[in-house]
Amino acid sequence: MYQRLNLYSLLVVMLGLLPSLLAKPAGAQESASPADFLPATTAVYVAVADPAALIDSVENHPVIQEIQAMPEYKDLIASPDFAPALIGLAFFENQIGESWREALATNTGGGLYLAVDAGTGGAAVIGKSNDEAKLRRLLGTALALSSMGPDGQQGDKPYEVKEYRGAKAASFDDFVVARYETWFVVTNKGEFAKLLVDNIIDGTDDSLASQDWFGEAVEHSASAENADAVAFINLETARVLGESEDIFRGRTDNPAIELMFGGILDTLKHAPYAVASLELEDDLGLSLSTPFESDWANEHRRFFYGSDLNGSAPAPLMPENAVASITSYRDIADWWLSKEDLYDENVIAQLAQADTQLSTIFSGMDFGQEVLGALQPGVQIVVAENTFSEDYSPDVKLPAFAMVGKLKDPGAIQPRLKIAFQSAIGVTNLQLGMQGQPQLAMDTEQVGSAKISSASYFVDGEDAEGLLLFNFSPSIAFQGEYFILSSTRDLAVELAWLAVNDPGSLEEAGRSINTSMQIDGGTLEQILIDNRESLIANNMIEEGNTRAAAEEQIDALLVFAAFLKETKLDYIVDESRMDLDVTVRFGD
Amino acid sequence: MNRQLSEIDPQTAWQPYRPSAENPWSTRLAAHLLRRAAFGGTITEISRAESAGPSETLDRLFDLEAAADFEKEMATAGRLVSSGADSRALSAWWLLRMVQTPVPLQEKMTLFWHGHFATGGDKVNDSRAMLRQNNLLRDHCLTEFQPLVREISCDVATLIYLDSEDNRKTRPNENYARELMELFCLGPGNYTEQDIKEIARCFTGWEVRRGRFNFNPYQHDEGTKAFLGASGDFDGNDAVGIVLEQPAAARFIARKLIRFFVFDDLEISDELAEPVAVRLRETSFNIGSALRMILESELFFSEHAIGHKIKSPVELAVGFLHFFNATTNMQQLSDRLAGLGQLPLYPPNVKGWDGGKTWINASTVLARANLINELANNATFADGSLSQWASSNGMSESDGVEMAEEFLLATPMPEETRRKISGELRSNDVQSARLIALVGALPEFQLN
Repeated sequence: MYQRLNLYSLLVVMLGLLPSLLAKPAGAQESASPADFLPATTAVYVAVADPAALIDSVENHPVIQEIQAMPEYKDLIASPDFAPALIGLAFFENQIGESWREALATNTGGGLYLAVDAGTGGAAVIGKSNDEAKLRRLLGTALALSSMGPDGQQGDKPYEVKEYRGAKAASFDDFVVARYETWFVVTNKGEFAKLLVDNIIDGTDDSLASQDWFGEAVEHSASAENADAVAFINLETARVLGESEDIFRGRTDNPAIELMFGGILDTLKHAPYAVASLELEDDLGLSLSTPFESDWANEHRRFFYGSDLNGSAPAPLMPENAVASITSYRDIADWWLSKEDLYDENVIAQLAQADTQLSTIFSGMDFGQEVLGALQPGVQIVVAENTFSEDYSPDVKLPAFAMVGKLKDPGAIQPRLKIAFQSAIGVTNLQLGMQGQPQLAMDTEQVGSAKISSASYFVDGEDAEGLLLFNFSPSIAFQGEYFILSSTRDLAVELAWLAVNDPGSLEEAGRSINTSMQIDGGTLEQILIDNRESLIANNMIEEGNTRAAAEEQIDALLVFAAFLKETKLDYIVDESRMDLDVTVRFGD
Repeated sequence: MNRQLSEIDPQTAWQPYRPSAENPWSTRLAAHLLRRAAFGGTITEISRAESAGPSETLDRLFDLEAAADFEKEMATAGRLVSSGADSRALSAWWLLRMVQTPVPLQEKMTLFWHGHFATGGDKVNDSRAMLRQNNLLRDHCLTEFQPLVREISCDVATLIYLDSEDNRKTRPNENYARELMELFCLGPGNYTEQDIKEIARCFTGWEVRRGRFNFNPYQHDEGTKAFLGASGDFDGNDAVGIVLEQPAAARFIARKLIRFFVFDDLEISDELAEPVAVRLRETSFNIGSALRMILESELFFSEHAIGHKIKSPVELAVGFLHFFNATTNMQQLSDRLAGLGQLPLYPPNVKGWDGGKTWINASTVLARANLINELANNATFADGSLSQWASSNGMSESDGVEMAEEFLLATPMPEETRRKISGELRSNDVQSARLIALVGALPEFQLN
């Protein structure tokens, strides 16, 4: 009896479910996100929750509004070159019965997504419409237009219509457009499109959403909940695909890249995933974040992280006309002394040769241990608008730049550094003399409490007018424990003053900032304006333009440069995560 | 093509050309004049020259005053690109000048003098000095020769290139004295080793100090020098004057002008060069006067001259861009020209470029065709595109090949080639570029 009842009950249940199984495949309506039907092998997944809102943000952005108000933009829109595009758009809108903005809002109302699948090698744009009929009409119109010749008549269809399990698809040579109910997919692989349709209809237990890494990544991205777009990247898969690339093996043979980004290479070697997000309001925010574990840090990269991963960048000195500043925790001596463990034989040989030459300039001191070792960890590179005398102004005006560090024992090392500077200027003068170039005259002075040694070019002829050399007056400055190596005397003096009077600060709620960079758009724009004539000359040669055409292009560049107010980048790493945050502020 | 120098009568060769029934003034002759005296003409310029006639066209070509604004713009750009030591950017700047100049004869003559007073930017390693020399050649391109040689004799780039930065009376430097006679003024065989030694003494004390020319009176030999039949306490300027008084001097320059502007496939005899040399002597070596005599002569407009020069790489590229009113990245173009053997400001040696048949060899034939193909596909056309250029110049599918032949080629193409190319002519950009590439690969297109 018990057994019969069970069999009967099972039969009733199956009969009851049969209509719904035939009428509506399981999972079709339940898939709220493509993560539910994308395969587990998905390597990259980008979600734009509200594309229409993002387009609104772009179009209503003050910078875009200003560009649209520019006469040049209005001329471009009104030009004959632009007319075909506008006519085509108007025709398209007429055919679909709504504006493209309305069509976008409706047909991506459920989100717009990008996915790259390592399993099929396919990439797909996936969208979800709020209105199946409108989506059908939109895609139908787009396909009809693709068959239309220049004369407006329908010609041969460049695609083949296919149907798969209720999904309609148009297959072109290089890509497939498919629609299933309110979902649409554009992909380069038909196989990938079929897999997605299968998963939408049948559902799958092995979806992207079911993957541990993805779940952790979604949790990790909680701070990006207001982002306009979020990307999830499976780094395990990326490492398999790019196993031969140094970048995924946690090493580079480029010393400059090692110094700047060595720690990030450790992350790429070990982290299971990365999350990137974009947020656009008045400012543009970009961020990249991964988990991080202390075990991942290469033991030879203490120079990058500091002990216990708490290396903190020094507070930056910011001159009044600073263009850019990058301040970073780097123990340069530790980096230099670890070179044998970080690079291949060729690089080691080159660095060893440099070590010998530099040791000569530094009177036989060991360059790594004694010279670089005299510096505290942490260094700032600052770039500022240059200043010139009326007599010696270069035609091409380069910004001034300087390196700022702190000395462990200023009293002991200062005389050594001063002698080394004099030696370097002496050697440079010999070379300049042999080339018939202007030579450097040295000067030593006390400005406030700072001791400055500088060298400036001595010129006594009209032939030297406008020379590139006039951008430089190499200098060193000592101010307390601060050591400044600068391309110009004026910048050295200003930095020495700031070291005492306005040493700056660098804070991030409870976390150590490893590296911080700032770019000032206003000063950058001023440098471009100062070099307008040089930019025009370069444009003439590189583009083959007349002066009038070159002026037009460079002035347009200057207009765009004026929109960039400030760019800020912070790199933060601790025991649990690595964050790279970029903020771009635009001016009025 | 198999012609002999003996077919040319030196007595009548330099008579002014008079259009006749046998040799009427035509599109072909107008195009020939602009190819040689300029870097070719656009269809409009050639048509205008045909309407104006040879005399008025030459008047226009020799009018160098028409470029004041252009000169100012280019002077600024030249100064800015020569801020550093590397002269490669300056090469690109000069190519731009050649493409855009409203006075092309000036640039053609500057190129001529650059080959004559060859100086290489790699050795000089001072782009300001190279720019000054380039401007010097331009300023003196059609003036009297003697002041130009005197200026060149104290030009920093020249002296550095010829290892003549230092010349002391106790050990006279013979380098410049030798090149003055062999390369600049007389040619080999017209002086002795003793002449070189004596002229070297004239230039003692002429030196380069801190990037500038300097006369050091303490190092100048004030003794008597005897050379080329003259004797006295001469200095460098005197030496230049005495050298140019030699009978061989005028013939040497005349021969070089004829070879550059008329033909380079025959040796030029003394008899043929002499009438031009006489003009030089009669006008204190006025180059403009001698050149005008050459460019308006019967010989210049005869079949002995038309198509009897091979385009140099610079003429090939600049001529293409000018004809199609197009432009391109001049730095990339200068790199390509270096591969073809003629990067301006970087001649192969002190003798400059040999020119003539040396421009063509197994590798450069292909590279020249590739250059034209690349320009046809990637240059920026003022009309927007090649097909729009064809449309605005009244060129259609039916007469495209005939127009290309008439305006672009120095000699007619074989009938079979014409038929084959006609089949390729279409009015879209891809086909237009393909047609131009085909024309660019023709042997006839390589002729100037």
